[in-house]
Order: sequence, then C-alpha cells, then structure tokens
Amino acid sequence: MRFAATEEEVMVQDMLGRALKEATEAALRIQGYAPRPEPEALRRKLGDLGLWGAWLPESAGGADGGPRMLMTLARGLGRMPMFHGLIGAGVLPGAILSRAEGAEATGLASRLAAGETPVAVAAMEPGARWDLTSPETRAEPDGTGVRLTGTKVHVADGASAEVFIVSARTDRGIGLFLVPAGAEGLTVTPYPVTDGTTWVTLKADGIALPGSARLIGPDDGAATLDKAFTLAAFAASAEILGSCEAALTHTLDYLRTRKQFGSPLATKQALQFRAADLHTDIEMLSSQVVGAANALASGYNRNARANVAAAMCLAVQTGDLVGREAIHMHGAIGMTRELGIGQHLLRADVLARWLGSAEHYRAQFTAFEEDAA
Amino acid sequence: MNMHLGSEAAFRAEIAEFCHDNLDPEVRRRSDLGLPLDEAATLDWQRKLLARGWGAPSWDEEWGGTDWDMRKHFIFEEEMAAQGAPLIGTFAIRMIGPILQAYGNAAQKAHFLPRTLNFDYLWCQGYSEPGAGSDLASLQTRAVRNGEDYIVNGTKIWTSAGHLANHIFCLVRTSTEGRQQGGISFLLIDLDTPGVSSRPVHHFYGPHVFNQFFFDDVRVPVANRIGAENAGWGIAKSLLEHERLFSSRHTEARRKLGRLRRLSHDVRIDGRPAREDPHFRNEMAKRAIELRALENATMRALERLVDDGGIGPFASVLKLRGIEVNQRLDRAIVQLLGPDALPAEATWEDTGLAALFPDEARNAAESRYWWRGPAIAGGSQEVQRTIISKHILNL
Repeated sequence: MRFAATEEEVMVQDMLGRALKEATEAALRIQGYAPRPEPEALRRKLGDLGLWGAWLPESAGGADGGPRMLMTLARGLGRMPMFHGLIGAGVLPGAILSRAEGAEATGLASRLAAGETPVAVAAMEPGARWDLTSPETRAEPDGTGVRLTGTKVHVADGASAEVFIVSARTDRGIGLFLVPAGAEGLTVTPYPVTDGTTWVTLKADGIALPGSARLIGPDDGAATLDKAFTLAAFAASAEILGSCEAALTHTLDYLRTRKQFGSPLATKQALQFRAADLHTDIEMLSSQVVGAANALASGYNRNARANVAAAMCLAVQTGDLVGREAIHMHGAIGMTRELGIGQHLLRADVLARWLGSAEHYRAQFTAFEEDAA
Repeated sequence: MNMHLGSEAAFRAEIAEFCHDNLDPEVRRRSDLGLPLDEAATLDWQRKLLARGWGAPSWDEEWGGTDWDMRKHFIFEEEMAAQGAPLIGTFAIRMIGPILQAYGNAAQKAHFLPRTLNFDYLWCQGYSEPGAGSDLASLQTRAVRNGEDYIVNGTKIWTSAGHLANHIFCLVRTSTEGRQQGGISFLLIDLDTPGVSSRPVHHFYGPHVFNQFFFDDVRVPVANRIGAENAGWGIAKSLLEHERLFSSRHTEARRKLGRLRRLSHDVRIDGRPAREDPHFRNEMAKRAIELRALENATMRALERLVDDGGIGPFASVLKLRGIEVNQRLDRAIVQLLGPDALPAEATWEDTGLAALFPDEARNAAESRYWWRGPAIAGGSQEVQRTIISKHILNL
C-alpha cells in the first residue's frame, strides 16, 4: 500500500478544503473570537457530499472508504480549529453501530453518515482514566430486559445525542446498551470542556431497558469497545496531524511578515532551527499516521494496533510541542482568543487527555509488539 | 526489473539464503555489535559478493553492476543489513564508483573501475580540511597545472579509513576566481605518490579512526582529474539519489533496537528482567516508536524516489532525525547496561574477562561515542536544519 494520496483522496481533500473554506467565510464573526464554522451546517454539507461517513462500510450508510478515508477526513478537519464532533459523534458510535445488527442500529448509522449526531458513546467512568474494561456500571437481568445503574463521565459530543451507547458490566462480560436520552431514570448533565466543546455526564438510576437494547452480543462487548476506541485514537492522530500542519503553516506565515529588530522573524536562525525541528517531527508523525492507516486497511490485528498506538503516541507528543511552539513564536498575539492559534493546543490536549497519554500508548505499543513476537 | 510484493519476498529470501550460506557467524556478530571488520574479512566478504554478482549492485551492468530498479536496491540494502551482513567499501562502491561511471572518461573507467570493484584500489575521501568542514566550499588545497600534471599542496583531515586506503579522491582548488564552488576540481591521487604523508587522528574514545593527509608538491597526472577543471563541486554533490535514502540510517538503528530488546531480557533491574520495569518499558517504547516512524518516513521517501526520481531536501529530514534516533538508541543501551558498559574494547580480547559481561555490552559505549561524528560529518545537523528551513519551509 502506498503513502502518497490516491486520486480519490486528493479529490476528497479538495472537496473538504472548499467546504471548510466556505463554512469559515460564512462563519459569524463573533466579537473577540477567531471565526469558526458552524458545526451542524458543516456536517450536513459534508454529509450531502458523501464525505462525513464515507469511511463507514456500505451496510452502515458509508462508502467503504475505510481507514484511509477516515484519515483524509480527520486530517482535513484538523486543519481548521472547530467543533466538528467527528470522533465523539462519528467514529466511536459509527464503529460500534457498524458491528451491530438490527434496524435501529442501521438507521442510526445512516443518519450518522449523513452528518447528523444522534448517538454518543458513554464508556468512561469516574477515576478510571482510560481503563474501559472494568466498568462499575452494571446491567442486571430484569425479566426479559435489564436494569442499568451507574455513572458515566466524559461523554464526548453528547449534548445533542438522542441516544447513548452505554457500557456496563453484565453476568457475561461487558455489554453495550442503547439508552434513549429521555429514558426514565437517566440524568444527562452537560459540562464545558477546555477546548470549548460541550460534553455530558450520565447518571443511570435503575433504567429499565428491553432485551433489544443490547447492541452487541455478550461476548463481543469489550472487543467492540476496544476497536471503536482504537479507531478513535487513529482518527485523533490524523486530526492532530492536520492541526500541526496548519499551526506550522500559520506560524511560518507570521514569521515571514512580522519584523523585529529591523528584519523579519523568518531571518532569525534560532527560529529557523525551531521551525525545522517542528517540520521534522510533523513529517515523522505524518509517515506514521499513513503507515497506521495502511496497516489498519490490511487487517485489524496486533500489528495494526501497534501502528495505531505508535501514531497516537507521536501525535500526542507532536501536537503538544507544535501547539506550544505555535503560540510562542507568535509572541503576545499568540496568547489571544481573537487570533485563535492556541486552539491547536487546546484541541491536542483534549484528545490526549480523553483518549490516552503518550505513556499510555507506549505501553500499548510494547504490549502489542510483544504479543506479535 | 521491477519489484512486486511476491517477488520482493522471494528476493528477500534469496538474500537471506545467500547470507546463511556465506556469512561467517563471527562477521555477523561483529556487524550486529557495530564493530568494524579487519582487512582480510572485508576482502573475503567482497569476494563472496562478487561471486554472486552483488559486489556493486548500483553500478552499471557493464562494470559489474545490476539492472535493478531503485526499490530492489533498497530492499537489497535493507535485507543485507537485517541479515547482519557487514557494510563494506562505502567509499569505493557507493561513492567513487558511481562518480567514475557518471563523469569519468573511457580510459579512467577502464583503469579504475575493475580495480575498485575487486578492492585492489582501496579508497578514502579527501574533502574536509582543517579550515573547511560543513563550509566545504572554502577548501584551500591547491592544484596548480604544470604540463601534464597538477602540483598539489595542502592538507586533508577527518579522513576515515585513510590508513587502510591506497587511493584518495580529493576536492582541490584549481581557481580562486569567482564563486568558491566554481574553482574546485575532482582529483584521484595514489597515496604512494612522493610528497604524500599522513598522521593518525585518534578518536576521543581511543581508536585510530581518522587521519590527516599532507600534500607537499605532489605531482598528479591531469589524466586523474574527473570531469572538467573547476567542475568538481557538482560531481561531489551528485551522490546517488538512492544512497540519500540511507541518510536515515534506519538499518543501523534497527540493529540497535534489536540489541536493546535482547538486553532487556538479560539485564535485571531490582531483580526483575528490565523488560518488566515500567520506566524502562516506557523508554524502550519511545525508541521503538520513533524508529517505526523513521522507517515509515524512509519508505515514503523510497516511494517518492520511484515516482519522481528524487527526494530533494527530504533527505535532510531523514538525516536529521535518523542520527538523533541512532544516538538515543546508543544512549538507551548504555544506560540499561550501567556498569557493564564500562569494559573497553580490549577487555573483550580476553575470553576469561569477557565471560563476566554480557556479549551485548561489547562496543556499546564506543558506538555511542562514534555516533557523535555523523551529526557533524556530511553537513552538520545545523546545516540540515538550514536546508529544511530554506528549501522546504522557505524562511
């Protein structure tokens, strides 16, 4: 498999770039903020163009674009800081729904592919960091259905969800359950996250669910969740890559125009060298993200997962470094909400805090490598 | 010949089989540890490669090379390294050979190429001078025309393997007019010529690695000039594009990671194998992940090379990061070994002593010291950063 973009991917990049440009130009200039596309309209537009869910299998309303298409989409979106919701409201639920059976799952998946955000995934719990394998939330048998009790936190992009996919301990492994946002016994509490997005917490107080609410068979829950979060980490690495590329481009433009001590900043060797190091880091990240996409495309196995872990580890490191350097090299103006260059750091931070630190992905990488050996 | 996936696997298997049949285990072990080979072993390996038609794969078939495409060359280099084959004859096979083929006249090719291929002529490179390192174009060694000869005066330094060589290819100043780069010629000099002398330059960790050569009224035939007078700069810069891929030094880094992994089973931290120590695991993963990315970047460069015929300044990205990755691996190995990285090379000559220390400790510290050099040679890391900044980032 190749590293260079295919003709189709170049076409998608162009379409995405045009749509993002239009959306940004149409964005309201709210006093004190850098202009930012309105997410709902943008998702609808990308849904209409067939891009938003193109990575999903055809059976789930997608175009079978797979990891390469997801990479192209996430990388493109990363270039423009905005609240796109691709990972929380697209990748995570999409990955789970595309493995589920039944009309409801299929219906939700095709709405998702069209750019809607009807589903969010509630898998994290207080104090558990990134451990998704031992939920305290439990689903107890109750007649032909179950009763769901527990607390879920950090439900990304959950504010607009009509239904949640909730992980819970059952007498046979981890179950994934579809819970309507309006279910009796469910309390949904929104809270603001540091990058400006709104996430939610869930409190389930003995919610009665029918047997059909179980989305994934009893033995596949943990593996399905694992795969969904692996795909989320992969998409996040591609988004951070796009974010780094854009942050460096903006910073270089600034270095060329801003004069200090009588000459453009671009002529200062200290800054040239820092820029060269950032470029080198971004090239390594880019090589690894494409490598991970190709590995995933040729099969979901330990090798692919090791490559995704490597990509996300580098993304976390590089996103943090490029995010900080982009602010610093802009000087004081870099500190402002009005310029918005800090959004790259905010977003890279959110993805790393949410999906896993560099250390977390290093541990994963080593474990997959050892198992493969 | 073009490589497809199936034939790639077959070719790799062919190389593995060749190495299995021909590679002396002791030679392999030395290569794995990054130790140099002695003269006899070097010659022996080249003879075996020649017998198989692999003595100089990148050369034209007419001169003993192959018709392989770039991908096949790349696979050959990679797989040879993976099999623990020694890297030999860099100056002869990778540098002067291709230059002779591209710029030499018929007589020069006929004389030098066969003797270079069978290692009768052993080469070293005379570029750097005491006052001209990364700023190579400021070199001062003069060659003044005198009838059918040049009279050469000056000095060359940092000449790796010069004490093992009998010929040197030099950049010499033949004009002081105009741009510095425009007054340089490319000259081949027999080191037995009267007026050539040398002194060893020892590496800071001990061994005789470099040399300084002095040229006092050395008479060199004009017939030994490659290309036109004052055209030497472009010739020296014309390193084969596919060689530039290996500026990532990823095959050497991979060997080092293999060594670190093997050591992680044997070296104990607080009574447990190092590989079970969370801090060490995190460090080893850092090294493994940055190498994985470097390998992917190298494969990406190969693809670009096949598509476009060149990788341009991306080679600087590969060199900058490749050296860092190698240096960090060396440091990780030494840190893991701790006191077992103390015994210097001579310790290993005494089998009784050597038995007290892990085999994998040999040449660990020395490798770390040796690898300070590549960050300085061939355009320092700062030169690479300048190239990236000017030619990629347009600053």
